[in-house]
Amino acid sequence: MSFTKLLGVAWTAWKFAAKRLGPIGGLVVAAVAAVGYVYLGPRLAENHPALAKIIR
Amino acid sequence: MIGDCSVSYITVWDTDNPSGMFATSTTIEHSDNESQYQSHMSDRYFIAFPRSCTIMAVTGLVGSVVAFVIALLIGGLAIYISARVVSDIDDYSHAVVTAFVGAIAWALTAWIPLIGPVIALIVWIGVINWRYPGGWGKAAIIGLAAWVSALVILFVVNSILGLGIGAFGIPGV
Repeated sequence: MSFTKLLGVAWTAWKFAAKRLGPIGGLVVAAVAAVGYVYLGPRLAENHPALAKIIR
Repeated sequence: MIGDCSVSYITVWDTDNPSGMFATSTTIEHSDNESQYQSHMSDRYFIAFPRSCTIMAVTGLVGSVVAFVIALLIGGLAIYISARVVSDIDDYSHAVVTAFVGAIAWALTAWIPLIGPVIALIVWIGVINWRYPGGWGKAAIIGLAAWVSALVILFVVNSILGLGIGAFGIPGV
């Protein structure tokens, strides 16, 4: 997982969420998306390797 | 063949037949239920195929959806960058929706023989004109800048990061 992809996920989540939830809400959603991407990736790779390959 | 999943595995059988003989005489390589996926077709007929076929089909569907979403986000990013530069409008979700509507407008008009691509381009710029203020001239500049932005983004994403994705909603890229 490259840092660029993680940054892309966080930035996209931030841009979508900040408009509706404000800057704090956007920051929280971006953090949740980034953490979820990092932690759910290995779990997905363990349980569903084919799907993990698509996501990552 | 569906990838590694051979269609010769797929079998339809008649449940009214007490002897359990298959209605179609295709090859069954896995006869136990655990290795097969059964799908109900009707009250009488069932279709069975290996579980791996189901997993491949679901994975392929999810992969297509993920690829579409990423391509849409990249198309929206290109329009977002150009709208930000040209009109100073900072709204990513607005740009993503514009890319989606523009792609539909393009698809609905580009098939017309001879003049289709020209009409599609005008309609696509019209969508940008409808979604962003500033008139047709500014919309055309946003469209051109979005096209250049998409080329740069895809070059970076595909060449440097090694991903093979496109930009949905930007014509010609």
